[in-house]
Amino acid sequence: MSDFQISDEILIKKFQEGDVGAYNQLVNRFKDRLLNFIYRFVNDLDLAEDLVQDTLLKLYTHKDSYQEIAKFSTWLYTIAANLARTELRKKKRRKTFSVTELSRDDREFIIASSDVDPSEDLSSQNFEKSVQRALAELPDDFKTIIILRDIQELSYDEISKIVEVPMGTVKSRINRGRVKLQQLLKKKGERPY
Amino acid sequence: MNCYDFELNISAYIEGELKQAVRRDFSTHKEICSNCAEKLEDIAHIIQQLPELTQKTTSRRFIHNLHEKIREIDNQGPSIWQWLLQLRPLGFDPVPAVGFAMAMVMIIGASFLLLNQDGLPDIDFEKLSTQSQKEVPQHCKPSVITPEPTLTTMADSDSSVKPENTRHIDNRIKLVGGK
Repeated sequence: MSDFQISDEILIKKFQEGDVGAYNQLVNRFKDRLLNFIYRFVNDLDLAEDLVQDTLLKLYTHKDSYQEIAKFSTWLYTIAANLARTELRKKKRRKTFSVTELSRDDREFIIASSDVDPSEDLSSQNFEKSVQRALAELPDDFKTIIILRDIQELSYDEISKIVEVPMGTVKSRINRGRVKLQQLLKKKGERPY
Repeated sequence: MNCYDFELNISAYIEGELKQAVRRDFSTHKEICSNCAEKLEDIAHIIQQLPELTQKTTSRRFIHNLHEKIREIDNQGPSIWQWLLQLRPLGFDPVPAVGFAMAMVMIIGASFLLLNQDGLPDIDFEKLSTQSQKEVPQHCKPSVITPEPTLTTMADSDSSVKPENTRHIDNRIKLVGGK
């Protein structure tokens, strides 16, 4: 039986019973997905990798906290989202204290912003940078849901469980988040095509 | 449908969740409002392009670093808190055992305090009333109806109380009709 035929829930159960191999399989399945989620959130690749490690360490140390009432991926994304949100709050606080403490990525954005030519068609790289910049300006609630829905392509049900808000609120936030994102991109003179 | 309602329904329209009637209104508004049509087009493109953003991958050292951290955790052993939680005093789980012990201490403590009280303290009401009469000036004296010393109260007239003991009993709280 190949690894991908075994469900995440069976793997975590095996890990709870002491099978470290199952943990390694879960790590391999989720490390890149979590990295992409957290990177879009904190906008810093090194920091995102550290946070993925923290998430997977929490999985290792708190494996017994998982109960099979929820999907394993939902549980893991919840841990990652909480860590990312906490880190972002710390980052914002640090920025308030000193503007000289801008991260490397922020400085890159400041330089890039002067080079943007609104009349030029956006290459995929430019679009990515613009989206990343616009996401950074979105309020956390909208940002989390946009990343989970439009980048990670999770279902509304899963998102509702991860962010712990009713499905109706998720749908309303995703709509408002998309409209805000479009407005931010438009304000910068960038259209997605 | 106005622009505000149009904006509220953009995602539902793109995801095909609008009811037929609302969808018709939505399409009608799209035809007449170029701003809203542009907004819809932009958002549809954003949704289409977001999953195609470059997928980041973890560095080569990622697994190695993770295993290093796990080894550190394993070598640390359980923390004091975890060690305490692992204890089984007299075979009980630690949390209920501590709760039970605390409840017992509180019950025993409260019982000890109650049992060591000598009842209510004796209060010399007569002395207290004479003191207060001396302290309060005449013009401030409250209008209190005081019984004539010659008059007997209901308790005084109780047949069970002997006259010679009256002075002594007067110093205590007397129950009306008490025997």
